[in-house]
Amino acid sequence: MKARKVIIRGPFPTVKETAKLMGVSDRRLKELLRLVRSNGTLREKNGTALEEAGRKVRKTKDMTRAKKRTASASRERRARGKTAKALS
Amino acid sequence: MARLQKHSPEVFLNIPYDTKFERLFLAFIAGTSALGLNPRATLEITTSVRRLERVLDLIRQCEYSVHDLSRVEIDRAVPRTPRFNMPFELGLSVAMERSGKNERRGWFVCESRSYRLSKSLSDLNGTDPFIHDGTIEGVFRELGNMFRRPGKQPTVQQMRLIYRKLRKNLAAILQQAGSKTPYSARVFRDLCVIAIDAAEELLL
Repeated sequence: MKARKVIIRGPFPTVKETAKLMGVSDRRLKELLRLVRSNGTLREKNGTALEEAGRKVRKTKDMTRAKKRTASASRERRARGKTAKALS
Repeated sequence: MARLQKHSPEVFLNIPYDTKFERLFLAFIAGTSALGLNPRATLEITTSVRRLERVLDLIRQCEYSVHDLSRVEIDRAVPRTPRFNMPFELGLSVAMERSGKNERRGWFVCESRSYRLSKSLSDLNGTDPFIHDGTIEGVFRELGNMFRRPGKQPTVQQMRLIYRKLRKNLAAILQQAGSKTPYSARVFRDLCVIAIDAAEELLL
């Protein structure tokens, strides 16, 4: 039996709360945040990552559509051929 | 350690501490943080109080637990033995949930291969494990199958961003802690703080 999905109800952890829970001092927390912030923000990267994922989905969809088009075009050609044969 | 009045949910990560598992270790921290959970692990236990007591305390504190049994294999070191800690801690979690004396709400079992659990731990037959295929994406996917936040769910891409942040800062954290492995109390604490900070930035 697959376990049911658990809905997590808040409050969601904040960085200060987590640091307190884990026993990380305020000074260390500041150091860590400085270290992390020096690499740029995640919000910008998030936008790019989502865009990239969207692009991949669109590409797959386009490929499927193209396949369908090819399939129907070949069917059309085949049909035309048969019709042509029948007429002759 | 003072407990907060209405604290955020915590998840006990019962995972192997070996070099091959390092990527998945970071993935578990990133994924659980993205889902709004505070990751906890036996790595935090450093005091000389009897280890078993501390493990029990930690499991009791956490509402949820995730048990990865993908590395219950015979190791290379002589005498060659499998590691029994993870199945043992899973047993403790199940027993604690059954006793119903605390806030525990659920336990989940992970594996990297389908059907192996039914051979290695047949007592759990009837409980489907979450198969992560031993990949980072698999861990994110299965965590998303176990838990959900109210409202908008974190995407695998967002979890991946948190993972990358951890990965990027790992070298500096290890250097600062004078450690060669992420499986130490200090490194684990720092990683959790960074992951929660990234999750807060991305999802709130």
